[in-house]
Amino acid sequence: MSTSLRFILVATRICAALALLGHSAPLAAQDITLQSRDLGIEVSGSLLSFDGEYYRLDSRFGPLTIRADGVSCAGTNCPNLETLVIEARLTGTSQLTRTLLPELLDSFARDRGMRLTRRILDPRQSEYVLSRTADDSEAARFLVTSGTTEDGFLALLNGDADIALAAREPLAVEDLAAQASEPGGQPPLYRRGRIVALDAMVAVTAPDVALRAISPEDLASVFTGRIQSWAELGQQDQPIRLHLPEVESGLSQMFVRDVIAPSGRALAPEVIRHDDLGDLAAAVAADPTAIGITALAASGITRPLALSGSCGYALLPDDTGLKTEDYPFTAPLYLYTPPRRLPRLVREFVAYFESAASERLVRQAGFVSQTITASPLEDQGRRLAQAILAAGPETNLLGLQDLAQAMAQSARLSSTIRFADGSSEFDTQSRASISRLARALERGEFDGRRLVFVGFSDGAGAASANLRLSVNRAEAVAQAVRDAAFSADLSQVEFSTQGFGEALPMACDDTAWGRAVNRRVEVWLQ
Amino acid sequence: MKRFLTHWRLLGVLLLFGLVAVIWIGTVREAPRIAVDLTPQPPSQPNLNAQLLSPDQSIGQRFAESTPVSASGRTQAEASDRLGLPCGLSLAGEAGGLAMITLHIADPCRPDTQMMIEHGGLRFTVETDFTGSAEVSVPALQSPANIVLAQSSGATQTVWISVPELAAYHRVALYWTADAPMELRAESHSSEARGIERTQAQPGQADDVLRGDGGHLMTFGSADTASPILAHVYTAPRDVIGPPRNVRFSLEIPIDAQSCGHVARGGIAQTGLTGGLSQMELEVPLPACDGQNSVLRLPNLLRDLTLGSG
Repeated sequence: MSTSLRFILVATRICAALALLGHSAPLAAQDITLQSRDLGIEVSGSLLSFDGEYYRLDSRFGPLTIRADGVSCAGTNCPNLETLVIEARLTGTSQLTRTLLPELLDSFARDRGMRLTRRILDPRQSEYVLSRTADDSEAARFLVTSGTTEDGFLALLNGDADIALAAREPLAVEDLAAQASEPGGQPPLYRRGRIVALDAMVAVTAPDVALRAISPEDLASVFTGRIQSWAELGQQDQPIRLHLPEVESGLSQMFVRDVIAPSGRALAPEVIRHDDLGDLAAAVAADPTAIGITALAASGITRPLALSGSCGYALLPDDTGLKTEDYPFTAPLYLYTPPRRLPRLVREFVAYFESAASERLVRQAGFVSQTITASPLEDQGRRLAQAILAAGPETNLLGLQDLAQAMAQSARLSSTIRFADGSSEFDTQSRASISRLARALERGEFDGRRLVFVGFSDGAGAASANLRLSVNRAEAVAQAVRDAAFSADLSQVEFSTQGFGEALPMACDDTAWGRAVNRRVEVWLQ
Repeated sequence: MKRFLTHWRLLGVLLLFGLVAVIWIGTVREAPRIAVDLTPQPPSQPNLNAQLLSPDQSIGQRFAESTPVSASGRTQAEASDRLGLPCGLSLAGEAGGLAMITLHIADPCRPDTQMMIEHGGLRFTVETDFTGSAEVSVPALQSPANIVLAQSSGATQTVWISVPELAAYHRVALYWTADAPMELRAESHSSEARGIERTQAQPGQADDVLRGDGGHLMTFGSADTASPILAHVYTAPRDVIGPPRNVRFSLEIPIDAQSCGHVARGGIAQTGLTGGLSQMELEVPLPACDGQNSVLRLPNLLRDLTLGSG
């Protein structure tokens, strides 16, 4: 069943359930009664959950959340505070459940004087039990179900999961289903995601294959059967064997949406599918005639290909390429939470993804962390040379000289902000970059330095309009960073903005993905 | 009659010689070790007990309950063994090649006794010989390595040993209890071989940890004891010469008449970046008994390793 159909069905089911709820006036069993300490207010209902801090109960006023320390509980279903075990259910992409999540739970548990036991219930489901080392009592259970991103969103919307683990942002249909299942739920689903690690969709070959780069257009031709021989990619004449992850994986969906769909053709039928990305990497590594699509973190010993365009730039899926999103198929991994309060220990675990310990585990699992890094000055020189080579009839010498002057003595930070076509809305990774920059400002990491926000545009449209657009975007980003760094002493840092229009392209402007890579605001540190 | 008495005298002299020799060997064995606190820890000391038993109370408890105790407790009153040697556990160790630690255990009052070694989420049981001694190889998982030796009485002894050489190796460990034996499997994939190379577990010998340029899997623990805990440990150098290879790990649990319906218990540990170590205990409820033998294979519990440069 297609994703959209499944989500429309869920949304319909949820709407029907809500309509039924509205009519069922006589209340279900009144499990518990909460009474305020001064005995003034009393409310009864069935207990939905208790997290040690808050009762959630389904009362005749609807679902209520009531702070535990202000009330006393009466009724046989009142939770026992002494034996309370926090429970959380996490469902979603196996890219996260495989090694990063267990290792994060281990580190999180040990930081809190707890030990971790993994109960393997079946190949796709494990219960992780956190027990206090001091007295061996259970503190929490995390039930982790491994599947696809789609499984994660479905479980979150159905109330079967407290956290969805995703390899992509929600589709429009998933956002719609969320609105139906959580009427008035704020913020909306697409704003409740946080990036936990950076990864990328990459095309891979066996390590000893000579091919180093491929254009997304050629990749589409290969996977739709238009190109069937390595000879057409400049190699020995042999048939190409194709490998893809399973149909419902976030990666496969991203590949079809971003690479196959723009070609207007359908996937070749002879594609070999793999449930396990490790199996895919092993199959491609052992076959010099294979090309596969996988995640960078799961690429093993295969060789990830750079992406090339007709103007000769090769965009590399390396740490810098992913952090800056210069590599166009950067695919961050996300956690999505429900529009309700999670127990404190679970909130702490969600926050733990941003800890220093987490950064190390993220890198260890093969992902790229979001730590801000600065590219060396030589890189700026190389990019300036590219800008001169790419200068079109609309680029004047004065503009290039300005660019050269601004680039001198400034290092590019990995924080790069990108925009949808013609929009000023930041994508999720860009919002995370702005937030990280703000936190660094609050810690005083840039005190005494100058931060230059430098806007660039794609080459579509008139150069003068693009120049204005790039200046406006740079100013918008600088303001967003200032607003987010509310506790920073901004008098210690000099902010400035500049716009260079289409002067420094990272990719060719002849494709949608190339233009998306070029529309950006970079942050330079002087 | 006189001849008979002479024989008795001779036997007495021989016995005396034997006794002196045992005492002398004992003294020499103690001498060159790294100094550790040799004071026996009374079983009532809560902190060390917590250190040992808390990582897996159930396994720790079961170890204490099921092991025959050769001497009742270890009080100051019980000051010496049959030969007059002072009672008490001594533990010392030194780091050797390939990030292996040689551990010297001596407790003259506990001959032929099972003890449990615990280090960085790895456990296995060993047995002392008739003199109460044991020499054991322990693969380091952390440096400095904290090694805890536990006796069935609940008494523990701890030693810290620096193992700087560990930085040069990857290590992956699995231990299991006797109820349901497990097996660690390592599959090495390289582009050059165009095939899969499977590594089989070998007995733990410090001399043959590494075969050529690849990884090696070893078995630790003695299976001949009452309630054994055994371990498989995979070691591979971080810098491998030759074509890059990817090592994938899986756990296999044979389901047979002995293990079916049980919960397999054990733990896994794996070294990571910059001296980090990930560890967790495992509980795997096994399928109910149906008279059929099979193998439960669990892939993806451990991180793949990429050896050599791409």
